Amino acid sequence: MSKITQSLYNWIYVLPTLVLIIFIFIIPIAYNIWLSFQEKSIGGEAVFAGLKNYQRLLASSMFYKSVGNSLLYTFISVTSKALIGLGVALLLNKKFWGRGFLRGFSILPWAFPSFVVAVLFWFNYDYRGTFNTILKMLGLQPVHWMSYENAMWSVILINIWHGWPFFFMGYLAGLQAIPTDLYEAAEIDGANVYQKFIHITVPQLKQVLLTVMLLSTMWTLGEFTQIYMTTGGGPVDATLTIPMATYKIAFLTEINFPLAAAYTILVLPIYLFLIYFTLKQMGE
Amino acid sequence: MSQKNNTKIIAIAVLVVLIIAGIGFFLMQQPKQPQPTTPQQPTTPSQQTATTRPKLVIWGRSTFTPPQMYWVEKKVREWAAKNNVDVEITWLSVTDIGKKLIAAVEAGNPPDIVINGHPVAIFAEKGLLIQIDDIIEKLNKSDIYEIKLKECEWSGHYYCLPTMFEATWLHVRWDIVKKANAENLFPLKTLDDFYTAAKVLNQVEPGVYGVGLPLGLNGYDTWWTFLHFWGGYGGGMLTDRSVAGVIMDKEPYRTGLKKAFEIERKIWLEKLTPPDSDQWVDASNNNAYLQGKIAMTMNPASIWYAVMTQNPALAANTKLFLLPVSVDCGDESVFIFKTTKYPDLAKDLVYYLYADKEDYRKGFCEASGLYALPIFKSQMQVISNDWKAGKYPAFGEDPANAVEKIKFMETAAFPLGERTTPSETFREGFTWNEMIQRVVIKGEDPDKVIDEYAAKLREEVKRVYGG
Repeated sequence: MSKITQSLYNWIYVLPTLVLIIFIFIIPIAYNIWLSFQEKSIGGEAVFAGLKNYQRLLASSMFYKSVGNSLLYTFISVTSKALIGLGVALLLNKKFWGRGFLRGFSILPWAFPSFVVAVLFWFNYDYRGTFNTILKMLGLQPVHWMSYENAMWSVILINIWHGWPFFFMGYLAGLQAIPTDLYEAAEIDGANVYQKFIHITVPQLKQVLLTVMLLSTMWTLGEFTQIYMTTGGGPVDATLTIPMATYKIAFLTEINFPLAAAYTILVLPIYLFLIYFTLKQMGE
Repeated sequence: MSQKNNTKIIAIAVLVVLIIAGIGFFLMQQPKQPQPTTPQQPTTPSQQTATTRPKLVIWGRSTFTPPQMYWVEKKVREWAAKNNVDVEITWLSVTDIGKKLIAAVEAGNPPDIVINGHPVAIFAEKGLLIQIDDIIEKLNKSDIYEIKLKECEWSGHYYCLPTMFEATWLHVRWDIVKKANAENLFPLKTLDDFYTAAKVLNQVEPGVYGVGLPLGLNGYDTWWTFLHFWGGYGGGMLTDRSVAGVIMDKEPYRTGLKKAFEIERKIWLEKLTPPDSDQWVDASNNNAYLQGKIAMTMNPASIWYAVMTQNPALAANTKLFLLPVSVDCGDESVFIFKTTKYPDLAKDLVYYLYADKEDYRKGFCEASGLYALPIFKSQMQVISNDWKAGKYPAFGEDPANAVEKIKFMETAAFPLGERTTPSETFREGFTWNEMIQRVVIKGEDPDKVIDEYAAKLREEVKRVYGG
């Protein structure tokens, strides 16, 4: 079979997927871009508005606040999940009695759907809830977990609790793939635990480490359910992240689809940047 | 067969399937027959035949008192059976229905009828709803409260029918009031007494806060609770549908609004309301009262319904009073979208819901524990007589007085007194809640916040009405 024919067949095989992607991804994005240059009231006709929606967004503090909140939420969440995941993976990679049970048990938070996690934390964060009851038992003052000052940290905590097992699983699989000979050779050469970690574990885990972190960064940046169900983006704008702001512009404060479309286009580079690096990383 | 041939066959099969699917999809998109210019026929019940059995898609706002939904379901199905019509009823939550309706309208696929739903002005002012003047006349217009009719009137025509009054009542733990020797405070004489009562009742029972003041970002309760104070202290939002009509930042309305902020801020700072009130959604003050976390809260009588049915001991200790200023939270209405294929059938169903007024009073209002009060004067008279005869001992005042005391309506611009797209958008989108939170919770400068939201309102008024 000639190269061209083979290539043609390959294209035909992926055609169904390609058609689906065009219908459910490319066309909506194209529509979104078109809509972002329009002005439109509910049930009304779209009228070309040029860059008005973009100007309005770039002039509003809400835009910068939501992007800033998202970056903070994502950075702290992903870093914490990565560290906890790595620590637990290292621990549970050692042989000891009950390791199998602990490995299974550790995955539990990740196995819960996001909405269940949100409901669990309603009870934890209630002013008469689990966390404050524990604090009171320890003789400490109860905390208003969802106050303007604390709400962001509280939703970050939910995300960390829910998401760290994903890192743990990825890292554990990576750790198990590292040949033990490398550690044995290092030991013969007199390397200590720290040196083995830095010079063997980290380089060997690098691929998994980056892939898991990039995937989690994309998911965390797009997290909607947990925030919507716990704080709804508030109080005021304390937990207003990119997905919440999009929802808010489209269905709440503005009820303005063209403005929401413009907002998504403005934040799109952040996601494209992440997608590019993730694909590149996975390709490598 | 060689691998080369296999590959060829699979590739050709994939191509054929794709072509067939594409043609099928294309054909499905083609209209089966020419569409009439006006969506009609067959439309009247008498014209229905088994071959043209029509279908009505109905969306309803689920209420906090299930008997209301049972009654609506019963009436709709009864009517459908009589008229040989298929009906599909979907119940949506209070915070979802507006968003889903907006999305459906944008997608060009709204339901035929909305029962007990909102918003209305957003659609009515765009000319998306069917005029129902004839239904109002058939129901005897003079028997419907004028304030309710005004909620559905645009340019001299009616486009919806409100389902009920939802007067706000102060639900009070009378055992705590007695313990605090504060019986003489009730009913409250002024709005300032609300703060006084909250302070007097606070922590009388350890752990029980003086008041449950909804301050959450995503609940309608935050807005209409604040509306009592905003309107009650002499504030104003909009006088007419023009940019010049925005008065919230002009004196004396600005002072009224600042006073409203002040009373809520005091309650928040002095910890007279539970610390999680800034997260509350619509059911939260109901739950806080039911769980014994608060000594009083204002709400339509859905709390009373829940207390009555779930906690008889608490019901025995609960009294309901009207506030010095009352807000009607019953903006829920019945309306028909112009896109319906069966306008006459839809109208017939709407009429059927209300035609038997006594049944409506019993099934929709009384069964809800008076959470709903009737829109018909004749039926309110029956309830008033019953109250006088001692049928509703928990209600500290005649429910008919509640209607008389209503000054503001949850979604209406005030003092204009009419539902407008901007007032509905701001309420529906929790924009007012954001303003309230910024001053009350975050402690921002009220003047700065008022300026900002007045500018926002002007921008919205300009967007909708021009000028």
